Amino acid sequence: MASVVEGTYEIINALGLHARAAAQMVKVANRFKSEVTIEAQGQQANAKSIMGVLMLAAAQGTQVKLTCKGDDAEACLQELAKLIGDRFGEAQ
Amino acid sequence: MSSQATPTLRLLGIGASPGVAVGHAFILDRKRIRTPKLRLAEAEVEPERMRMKTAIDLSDRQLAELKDQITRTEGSDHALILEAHRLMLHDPMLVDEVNRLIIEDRINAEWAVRRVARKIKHLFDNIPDEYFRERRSDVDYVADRIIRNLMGQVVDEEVEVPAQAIVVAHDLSPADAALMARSGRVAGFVTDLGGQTSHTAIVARARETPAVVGAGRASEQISPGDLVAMDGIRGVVLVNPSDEQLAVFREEQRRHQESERLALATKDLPAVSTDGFQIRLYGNIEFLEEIPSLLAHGAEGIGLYRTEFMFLDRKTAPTEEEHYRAYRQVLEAMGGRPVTIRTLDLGGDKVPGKTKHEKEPNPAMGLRAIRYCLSNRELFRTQLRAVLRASVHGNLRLMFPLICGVSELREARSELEACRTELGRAGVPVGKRFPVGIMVETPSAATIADRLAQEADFFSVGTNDLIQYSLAIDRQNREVAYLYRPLHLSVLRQLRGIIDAGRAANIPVSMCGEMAGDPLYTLMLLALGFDELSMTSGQIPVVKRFLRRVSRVDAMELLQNAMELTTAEEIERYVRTEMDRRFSETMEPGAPGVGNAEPTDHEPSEHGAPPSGRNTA
Repeated sequence: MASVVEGTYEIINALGLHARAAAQMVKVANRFKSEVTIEAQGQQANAKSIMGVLMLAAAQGTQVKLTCKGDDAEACLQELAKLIGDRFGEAQ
Repeated sequence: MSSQATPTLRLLGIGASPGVAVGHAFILDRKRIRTPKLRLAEAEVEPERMRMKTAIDLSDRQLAELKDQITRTEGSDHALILEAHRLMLHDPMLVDEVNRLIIEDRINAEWAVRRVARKIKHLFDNIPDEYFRERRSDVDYVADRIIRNLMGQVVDEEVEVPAQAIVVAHDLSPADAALMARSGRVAGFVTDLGGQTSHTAIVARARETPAVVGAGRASEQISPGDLVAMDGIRGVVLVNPSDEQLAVFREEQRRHQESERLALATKDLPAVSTDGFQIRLYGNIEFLEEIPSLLAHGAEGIGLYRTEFMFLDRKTAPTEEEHYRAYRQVLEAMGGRPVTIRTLDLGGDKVPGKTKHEKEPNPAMGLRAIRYCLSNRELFRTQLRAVLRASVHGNLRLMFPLICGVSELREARSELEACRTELGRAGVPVGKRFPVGIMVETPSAATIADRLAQEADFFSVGTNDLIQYSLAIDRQNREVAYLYRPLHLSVLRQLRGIIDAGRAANIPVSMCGEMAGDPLYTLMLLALGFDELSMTSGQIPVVKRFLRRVSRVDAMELLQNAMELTTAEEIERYVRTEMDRRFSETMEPGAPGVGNAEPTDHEPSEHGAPPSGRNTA
């Protein structure tokens, strides 16, 4: 059953959504069937598009809203939230 | 080896990775491809989409293979760029739109890719943050690869670079730059395009390979096999240099290699005289990538972190986030070691996004550095806020350039405190108070150093400007350049006055101008009593070696005798002779020479301020 879940998170890693972090986000999003959008500072992008994510130019401290829509939406949002919370594996 | 017959050609670009190299040119010719433009018949649409899919798959395999090769030898940084490129290949923004154009506009895949890439690049153009804006070049590299594959061209040609070649190219893709750097056969890079943050610059700095970027039409003007001498600090490229010019470059190259050898031997030893006086040796930097080299040469901290690069090669002024990110990275990379950030040291003509000021007749004495910041408060505050926020992440010190009087220092400090309060109120963490000092680089500041010392937490003497202003000579002017004399009695007296003032107020005094890194002056500076000397990383081992071989008592005698002499010529001759006597055995051929009062200026009058806007201290 298709569901829609969303959540707002702060980007806490030092470099923000730069190439490395954006790549990780896209790779995680791609593992799920759900549609995933990411919104930051009034701009929206497909979280499965690395160029779209980079264009958000989201620096550290930016609030991003993730919306997942699909059968696996719940799990998808959870994974993405974990990635952001883990600072995309960046050293602190 | 140089040819008398061929005239020397001199090119000026942006020094993007320090070091000197001499070698024969290897021209990497990656001609821009012409995109074929065709209209499709209806029956051709499906096969065209298949062709597109095949080209993407092929590109993906190529990038995976490249990434694999690079990861094995190079570590993960370059691999990361290629991984991002792979994701771009499958990006719906690109693929869906290309397919739409093939189906709806009935155009061939090459044309469609080019059109979509152009559209995406325009979207990146408007991003104020330079890092994110520059990802548009990645869009280009990816589009080029797909188009080449569509056209059946060879993409990752194994380029056989001859050993010790100077690679000359219009531009280098990250894949090319990484592959070539990996080969270990490249002596230097010269590219027509690019700036301080281009891939070539970043890769070259990481590999400690000299690079000059933004060198105009170098790839057309240089022929394969030409002898090329290049200087990655000043951005100078000499094609078919004369024997004399070549000798200068070779000497500098040899000195560089020698200091590398020394660096390994002395890295962990303290810079202490035989009678126990220690001077902290720090490095001058501009970019994060210089830190590994700094630490490898034994720097104990950063005595001058120039922030001008934040403002160059861009259309809009940097955001607080950009400043913050840069400073934080440097602080973190240095661990707990001190990092001295100097606020903007440029004039308004170099700052982007501001209304251009009228060209000033005498910019060295014009509206620049702290003067410019104090009359452009918003820009100044942006930098100060970022500094305050970054201070949480390490051992930060802040200094203001070109201070002439106490009121400038007060104004700058009160702006800093205002920013601190503002951030505190907004709940932004700003860390503990950090030392706030000044550059002492004007005769005025030197003269009232006692008063300034009451309100500054430290002094850092910028000798380049101090000497230029004290002796009233323009270093760029060939006619008077010979008057630039660091050992002029007036300079020595000023230095002594500054130290005395610092001592009396119990604040540390440092030097971060060129004089600090030249071993000819090391004993004089030890005797004067500097607490810290800050220089380029390559100079640290030599200065350290000299310090470790003398006593301060001996150095003080040298200083006293020198200051009893009168003319700059007499003092220089005396100091040079005495240094030769003390260090003759270490100055045998192969050892770095003392007595290069000025780092050899290859052609003093012409290069002027390097286009990178790099301000020496």
